[in-house]
Amino acid sequence: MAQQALLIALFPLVAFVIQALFGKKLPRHGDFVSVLAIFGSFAVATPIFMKLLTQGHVFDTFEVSWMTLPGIEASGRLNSSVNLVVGVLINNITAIMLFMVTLCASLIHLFSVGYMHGEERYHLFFAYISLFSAGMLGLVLSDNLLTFFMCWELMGLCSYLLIGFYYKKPSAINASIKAFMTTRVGDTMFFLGIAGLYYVYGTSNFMAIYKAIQAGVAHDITIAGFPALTLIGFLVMMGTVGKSAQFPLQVWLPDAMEGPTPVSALIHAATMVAAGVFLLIRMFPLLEASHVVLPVVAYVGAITAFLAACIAIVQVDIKKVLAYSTISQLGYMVMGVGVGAFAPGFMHLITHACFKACLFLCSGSVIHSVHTQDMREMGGLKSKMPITFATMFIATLAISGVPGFSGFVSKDRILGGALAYSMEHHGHYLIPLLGFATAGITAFYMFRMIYMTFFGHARDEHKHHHAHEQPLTMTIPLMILAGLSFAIVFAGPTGIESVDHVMPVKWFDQALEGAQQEMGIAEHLSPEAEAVHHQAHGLALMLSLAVAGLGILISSITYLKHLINAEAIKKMVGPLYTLLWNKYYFDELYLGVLIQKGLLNFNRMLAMFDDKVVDRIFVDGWRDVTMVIKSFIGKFDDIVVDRVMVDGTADVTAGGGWIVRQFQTGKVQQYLVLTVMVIIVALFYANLGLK
Amino acid sequence: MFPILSVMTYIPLLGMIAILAAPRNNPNLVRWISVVATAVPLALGIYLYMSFDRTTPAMQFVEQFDWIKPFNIQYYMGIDGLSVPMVLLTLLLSFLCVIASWGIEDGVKGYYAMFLFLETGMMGVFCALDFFLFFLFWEIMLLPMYFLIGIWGGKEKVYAAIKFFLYTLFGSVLMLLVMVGMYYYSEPHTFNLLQLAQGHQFVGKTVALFGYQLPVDKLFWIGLFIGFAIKVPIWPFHTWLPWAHVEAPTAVSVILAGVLLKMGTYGILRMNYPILPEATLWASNFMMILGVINILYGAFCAMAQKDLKKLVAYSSVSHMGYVILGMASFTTAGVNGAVLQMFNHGTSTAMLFLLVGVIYDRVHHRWIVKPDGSKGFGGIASVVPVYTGIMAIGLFASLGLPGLSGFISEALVFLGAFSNPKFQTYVVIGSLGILLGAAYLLWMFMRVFLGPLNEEHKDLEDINWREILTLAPLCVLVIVLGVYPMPVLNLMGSTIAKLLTLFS
Repeated sequence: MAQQALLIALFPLVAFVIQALFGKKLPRHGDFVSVLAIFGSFAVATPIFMKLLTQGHVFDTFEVSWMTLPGIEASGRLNSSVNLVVGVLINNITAIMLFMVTLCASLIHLFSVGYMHGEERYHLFFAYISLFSAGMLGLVLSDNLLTFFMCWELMGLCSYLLIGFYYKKPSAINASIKAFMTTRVGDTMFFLGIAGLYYVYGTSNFMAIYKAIQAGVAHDITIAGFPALTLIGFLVMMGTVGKSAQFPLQVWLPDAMEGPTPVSALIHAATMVAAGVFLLIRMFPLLEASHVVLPVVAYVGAITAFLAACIAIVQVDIKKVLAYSTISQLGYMVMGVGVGAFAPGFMHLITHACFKACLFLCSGSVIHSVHTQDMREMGGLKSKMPITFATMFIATLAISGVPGFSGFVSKDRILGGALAYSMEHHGHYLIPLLGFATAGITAFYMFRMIYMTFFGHARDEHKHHHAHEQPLTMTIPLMILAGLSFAIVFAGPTGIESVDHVMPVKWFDQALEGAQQEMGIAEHLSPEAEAVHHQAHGLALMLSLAVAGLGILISSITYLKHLINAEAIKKMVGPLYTLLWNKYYFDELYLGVLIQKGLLNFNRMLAMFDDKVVDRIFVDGWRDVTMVIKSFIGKFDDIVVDRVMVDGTADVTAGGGWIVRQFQTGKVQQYLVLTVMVIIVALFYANLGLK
Repeated sequence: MFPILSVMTYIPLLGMIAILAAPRNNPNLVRWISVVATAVPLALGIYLYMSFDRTTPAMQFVEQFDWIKPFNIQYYMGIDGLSVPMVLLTLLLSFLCVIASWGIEDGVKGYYAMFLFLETGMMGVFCALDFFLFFLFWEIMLLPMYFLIGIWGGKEKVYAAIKFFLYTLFGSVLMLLVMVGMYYYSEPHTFNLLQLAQGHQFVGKTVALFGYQLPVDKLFWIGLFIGFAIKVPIWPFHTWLPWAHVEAPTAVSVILAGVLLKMGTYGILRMNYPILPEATLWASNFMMILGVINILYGAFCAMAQKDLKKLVAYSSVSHMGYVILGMASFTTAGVNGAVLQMFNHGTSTAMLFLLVGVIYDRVHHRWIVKPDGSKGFGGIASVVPVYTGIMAIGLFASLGLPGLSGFISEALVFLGAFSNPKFQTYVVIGSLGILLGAAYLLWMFMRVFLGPLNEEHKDLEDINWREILTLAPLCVLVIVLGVYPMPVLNLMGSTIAKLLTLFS
């Protein structure tokens, strides 16, 4: 099974090669190659997922030797041999991810055929998203951190290429380089983490790492004075912070919306950014092995979720709203993992991928129709685009945490976990507080978006007039993704007997329990803890319903009924609004202060140092020495040979004085070079002399 | 036995003689002679690659006989896992550079004669196993290089050539001293590198200087190291490099960056490591620090450059820092990674220099930002798509993107260096180079290729077939070795394993 699963990543990779080399010459610029490839991947991934549903458990591995470097056969020695083995790991988590990614990617490919129609470099667009899909699927399949990291970076490359797809647009290329560099900050640390794990355990294989952690190996090793596992845990976390746009590296994701909308849906909502969270899921035993890392992860997630949600309130660009909501929701997942709500965190990853892909594609559909991203120019599109409206509304209900929809299930569990965590560890109340506040804000700004886009009157008559519903290739993906936004998909029962037969009730929980056992992190709660959890989850249910309801209510009053004037409030909280509108000034800090004032000036200083100082010593110094020697010999001829020997009368004192003067020029570099010369000559004679 | 190494070394020399004898008015004849004189050794090199025994660390294809008997100087050629990758790189790049130099119109005869002479020198350095012979080839190499830069170079060619010459000469002097010293201190007196490496003969011996008893092995180590460091170049001996690279004609820059820099690190691995292992361990911390300085200093300076070629030149300084870092880690992964990085940097930087040459041939400038502050290029991706694509491959290989060759070697270097508890802090600092590398390369890419088209260059011609021919083999290597590096790692493994036993 694991061997065949390789095809899942290989199909899109082959499609990339074909597209990159011959895409332009193929009929339809080869879009069918990429689409067929990803559907092929979906076809291979589906049986694996079905097996998980029917049997409740899948596990298989497949390994090949990648690099072998001979050395002494002994572990722990510097010159021990190196054998890097890479391969595929199929377990419950992999199966779910594979199914979700191939499904979303297939639908987005299909949508792109319509959306990107007639674009310049159409074939390259498909080449890039094929390569991207190969990277994402390769990452999911990887059984070790090395290939995981390679695919991780490959996605980073595709993200760079696709954000900058409209490469003539300065804002797009700025965004692309910003995304690549910001994530690379995290990537670099992540790679150091991998190197650290390799140092500690001599392997980068997930299963081997799980086993070693369970066995308690290396809990006392230090790296550069820090406890190794804690340090590595933080380094790995930084990988997630970069890739999943968490605080303080969240700055790149909103700008990444410069890419074509299907790209935003695929990369910056459903898959690549989720890969960061997926890393936390894969490395959870490591994070848990240190007691310091998980709380930090939880705070990072909670702070990100809250800060991003606040910014989303003031956005007027429909894609920017979704971008900030993505950051915010990723924060939820990270927070979930941080508080130990491992399964809910992963579940939110999956549910979010479906409804956020749906939201982005819907926004794409709207943008494609009205040719603007500014919500202030929309309005009243409900009747013009009924399918888009319906699907987007369903997805909005899901993200807002309305009961009966998928987001409610996963978000509620995360919040319950956060509440339980703070009840167990007194003092961490900020985490659930931020979590619940974010839930309310999310409901508010998502409904604000829906109201501004689809309800009310048309604010731009011309654009409204030209608006139209999209063809089926674009709306079918919307409908399928909206269908996946219902709670029953993840937490049955559906009530349909044939479906319930194949897809057991709570299949997700079962699958995750199996995975947790494999990873050695199965929860064994004491009766008291059980009681706390029960209590917390009950309370969380009430609270999350209340805040979501409140958020929707205020949003409806403000943007549907216009009982509250939003503009007046904006003026009332002026400074706060400015702060949010400028995204807390992170860009100014990073770009203006750190890079332009700091880095670039430092670079110029070093380059000057090269020209003015190093060169003075090593080049001009040489020149000075040769000048001295030349004049010395010249004078020697004049003084000694001509005057002393030939004329027989000489002013030796004057000549000697001249020579001494030559050495006393006061130039440090001359002295330095002379000293070196003297040492060299002395050494030479000393060597000869000894023999 | 067929003396394959000597044949490979001297065919270019024969080619040079043929060129000197060729009529002056027929440049194409000269070019074709050069093609043959580099293609034949390359073909032999492929045979060498096939028949090289990867399981043994011993010297292979050995040719050994007495040359200057009274001083026990031998003509001793042979290759092991360290030399083979370098030999192959030299052969490949020389061949490609002959094709890349097709556009040279002035003094074709002299140019190609010098170029072939240079190849003989380079081959000799990588094959020689006698210190005297090694030194001879080392000096042979210096001469044509000086003329190639000084005559066929750019505006500041004379300054650049003299600077190159002075630096390298300084290194040569030190090397000469050490060579003589080693001869006198070895028992029996020998220049044979393999014999010098036996029995730790310089440990514990001292020499009296200014009344101090100084340890001979450490003095030798320092002398050799500075000699090689200038070639690498290791900070602060690096300032010849940007000038030489920038002023040299394209093909010569390729050889400089692709092969000559590696001679420094090759020399350290060939001499300092096996002959003076104790001193090497003694200096390991120092090497690590220099490695980190190289990585960061080169990267910072690269970011400040306005000349495309100078940027690539400084990136070489940075990338050679990884080699030092890996070498000084004394771990299996680190040293293998370092030697692989020598090879991979050879291919990826050669690509970048060739590509810069392509654009320079067309517009006769290379400014990212012109001295007056205006944009040198901008948006040329839309007029030269193929060129842009190949540039992207070279660039991403250079910044260490997974799937391309640079990543594997950098990853091995970092995995290795991080496994040595002594050096973990250095590695953490050095890893900043990964970040900076991406920054200066992508920033350059953005300013030159992306954005709105600079109307000045709207008629730019895309890359032609001859240029693609020179780049295609490098492209293939960069991609193949990025996915599966064993074809090169295989060659060096057992040699490095044996070398490392000295340090365990």
